[in-house]
Amino acid sequence: MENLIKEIEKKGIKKYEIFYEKRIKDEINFKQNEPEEFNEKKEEGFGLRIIKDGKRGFVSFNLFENPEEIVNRAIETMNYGKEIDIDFPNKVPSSQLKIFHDVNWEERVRLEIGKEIVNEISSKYKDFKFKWF
Amino acid sequence: MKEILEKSLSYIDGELGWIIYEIAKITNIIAFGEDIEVSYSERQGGNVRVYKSGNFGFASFTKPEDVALAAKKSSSLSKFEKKSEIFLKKPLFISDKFYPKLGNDPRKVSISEKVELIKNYNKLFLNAKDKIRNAVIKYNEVDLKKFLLRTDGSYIEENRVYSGIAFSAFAIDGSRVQPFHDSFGDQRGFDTVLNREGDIERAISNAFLLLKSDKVEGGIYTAILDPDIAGVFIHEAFGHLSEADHIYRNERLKEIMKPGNRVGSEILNAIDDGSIVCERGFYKYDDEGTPSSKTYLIKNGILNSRLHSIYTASLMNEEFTGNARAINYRFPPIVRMSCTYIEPGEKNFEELIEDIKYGIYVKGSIGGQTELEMFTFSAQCGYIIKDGKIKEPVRDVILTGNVFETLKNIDAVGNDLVFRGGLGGCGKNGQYPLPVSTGSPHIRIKNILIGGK
Repeated sequence: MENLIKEIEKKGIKKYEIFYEKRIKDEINFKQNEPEEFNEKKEEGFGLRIIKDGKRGFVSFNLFENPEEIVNRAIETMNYGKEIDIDFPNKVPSSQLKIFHDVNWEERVRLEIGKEIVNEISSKYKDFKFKWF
Repeated sequence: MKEILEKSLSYIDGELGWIIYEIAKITNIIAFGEDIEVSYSERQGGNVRVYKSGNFGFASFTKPEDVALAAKKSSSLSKFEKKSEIFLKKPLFISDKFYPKLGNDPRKVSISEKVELIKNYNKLFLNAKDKIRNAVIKYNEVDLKKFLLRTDGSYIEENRVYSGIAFSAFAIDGSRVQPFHDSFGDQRGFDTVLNREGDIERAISNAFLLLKSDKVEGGIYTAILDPDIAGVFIHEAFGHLSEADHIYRNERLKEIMKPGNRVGSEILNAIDDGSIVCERGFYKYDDEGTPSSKTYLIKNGILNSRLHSIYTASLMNEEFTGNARAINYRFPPIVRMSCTYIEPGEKNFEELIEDIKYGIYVKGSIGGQTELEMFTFSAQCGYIIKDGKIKEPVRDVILTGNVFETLKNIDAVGNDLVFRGGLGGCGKNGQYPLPVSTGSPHIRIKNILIGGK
């Protein structure tokens, strides 16, 4: 991250915003009422938005291998944007915002919950087949 | 990259395992009104998938150095639920690197040249304000590099370069909006997006013409389907039914989709073939490392084969077809189509329409729905056929019916096969858009129900 900020400032860009997002998704997929796939999906990525001379540039990426190329790409997109009168909001004090439900269910617990739901509905609707859960 | 990934193969504990890593560089240019917007994104990541006793474990990751953790996690997930022993058929060992030879490589064309091209196309729309109100153009380019390692020692590197253009013109009269869409996309290179002025002019005049057209009269028609909608029809209405992961535990589908069943007229041959180089649906190897192949779904009207992953082929004791695909590293592969098409026959277009006293020529597709054997599709437009001649245009043409009855009612197949790719793709189980191609010659169908006024 520091290298990216250095590279941005080296190019004379004073207004910039870096957005980072990381997601972990646990899934159990049922097919025709039977569990079949157990997935853990991890992903992370960055968005870089810059404003210079009334123009806006944007690039998204998920690895920092080449900060110079990332910044050059953002500048390139900026060149084709039309002039707009926008600015980023003023600096706000950072604080940690808890935006998730803090429950760490073990896979076994999730599987049992899934089976319970499938059994409950299947007992009432005989022809009902679950594809995904 | 191979060295980093290879070290983690030893952490995979299962009957068969895969490590996939991919790097995708994406360029988009969008023109809307006077505005041009350029954006880039680069997406890298991988996954480890492990099979053990009827279960798959899957773990995705972003940084290459996290592959070992993913291998361990995926292995433990695969052992989670003990099921009946289903042993996978042994896949073909592969060691290969595939990099396409592109005539006009879009990666070598400067961004300013691409923007200039889109601006010039956009001018055609902006200069047609008397006919259309709005228009949008999108250029899309994806440079995708994939690495696949399998626990049997197979190693594959494959590069695919997609490029294409899509545009929509909107004619407006009061509260009525009449769109006309078109798109061109494949793996041929930058030439695919060049010289599209005629196609843009056609989109403008069609949107304007349809705005002034009447709705089609509902009823039973003899219809000629153009290659666009006939290709989408065979993909949506029949191709999806051929995907073995829909079939293997569904008793009703097993009965409907049994090889040897008559599913269409004897002049009908339908194929899925991911090995057609340069088409949007082309790939040399699927996401399990199985080579893509030509699969006859329907041969002379008889159901011939289904589409498979390694798992479904093992479960149903059929041959691999190389159809396990994922839209990106964040998803496990599932059974998908590639280039799905109707094989050409012998009749030219004039021969197809000359005997039709009163019928309809249906062109283009703007979407549809299927529910097992029932389908509904909306066409971009239609033309009435009278005494073997194309007459006035009609709008809001909707085709509906039972897929097997409709396939049996195909009584003539043209000789003018056309493939279409576009910029979108196929959607299934939350994985959209997967690059595919559809194709067909013109086909003639008798007694098809057309919805309208």
